Amino acid sequence: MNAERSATWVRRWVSVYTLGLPPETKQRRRDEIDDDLWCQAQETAESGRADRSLAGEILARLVFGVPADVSWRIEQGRFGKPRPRPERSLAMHARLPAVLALVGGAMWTIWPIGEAATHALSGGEWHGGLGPMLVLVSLLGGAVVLALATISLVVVAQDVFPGLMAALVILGALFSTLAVVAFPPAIVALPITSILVMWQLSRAGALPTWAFWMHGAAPVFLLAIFLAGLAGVRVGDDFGAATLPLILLAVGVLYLYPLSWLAIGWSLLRHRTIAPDLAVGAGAA
Amino acid sequence: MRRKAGFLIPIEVAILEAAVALRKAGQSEVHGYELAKVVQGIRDATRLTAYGTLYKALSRLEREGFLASRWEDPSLAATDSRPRRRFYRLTVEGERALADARAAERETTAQRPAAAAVR
Repeated sequence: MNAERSATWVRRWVSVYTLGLPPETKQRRRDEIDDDLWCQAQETAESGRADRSLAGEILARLVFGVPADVSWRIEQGRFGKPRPRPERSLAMHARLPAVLALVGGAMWTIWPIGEAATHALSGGEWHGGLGPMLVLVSLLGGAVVLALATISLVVVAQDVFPGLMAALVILGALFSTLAVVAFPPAIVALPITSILVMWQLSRAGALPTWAFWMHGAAPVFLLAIFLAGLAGVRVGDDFGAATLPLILLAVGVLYLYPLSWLAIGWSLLRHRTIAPDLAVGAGAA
Repeated sequence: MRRKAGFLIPIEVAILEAAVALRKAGQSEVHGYELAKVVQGIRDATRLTAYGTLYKALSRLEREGFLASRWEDPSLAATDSRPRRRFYRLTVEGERALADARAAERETTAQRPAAAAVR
């Protein structure tokens, strides 16, 4: 796709979300975006950058701005009647991923417990009913919610993600939801994408480093087991008394993944931002 | 939770900072794209602020009285064969809001030394 086509998409989108607004409001927004597109194209041409690079940047600016466009449009009111509404606070920007992280983390934290309880109560057999259903809902629902949490983190902290990484993460997280409907192995994409997100946020100083390490421990552990399996390493039954502690250790490490989501959600709620720290105390740039 | 009047989110702080920086550089009026470029530098961002995010923030800053704007003479734009341009200017209220935001940020930073220490 070339830059002109990307710009056309931007203009089409402006036409869509300004629909029903008074002509002067509509025209103001169109002119401002037109000027921005013109400046960006001019600067790119002068710098000798590739047209494809400009096209990608225009599309990224379009996509990441969609939530703000929709929110702006809602503020303008329907059919040109201004309906001033207070904007959402900074807390609200981080609150959506925070809540999704907490809900998804909680769902994945409880399902093994629920499953173990159900298993014990049913004498090791699957009888159906409410208990197993809750386990299923928390497992599958948790996967979807965590995928949404991953996507919302990328959207909210869009400035810290290179375009390609953002696109890959969003696609990967969407792909992982296939696990719920048709393709269980797709779930592997969830920890991979979420680790990428936490790594980038941690690098940008938007999340504590420990959150990234906590988040990555379980998937790395699983990967190590997988690689050990491929390498033909066999874990026999000769651990003796050490077997139970080893199992508990493994479960503990695996539990770090949902627990890290809870910790990250809580951290976001407390600190109220996932944007990189601004040098507001250091004077103007 | 609804935003209090005068409360600034990071992109708005960055826009006001950009306006201050450009004014110091002798440019009292700036258009959206110029602001986006300076904001990118301030936030150390990999790309320019999204269209929606930028113009929604500008719209809100103007509504709050932190920025004032005017459209340039259309004939100038026609002469240069480009779209007409909207210029923004930082107001006294905007400077005050930025100072308040900086003070609030310093206060918040001072209140969470433990969080900063683990990073």
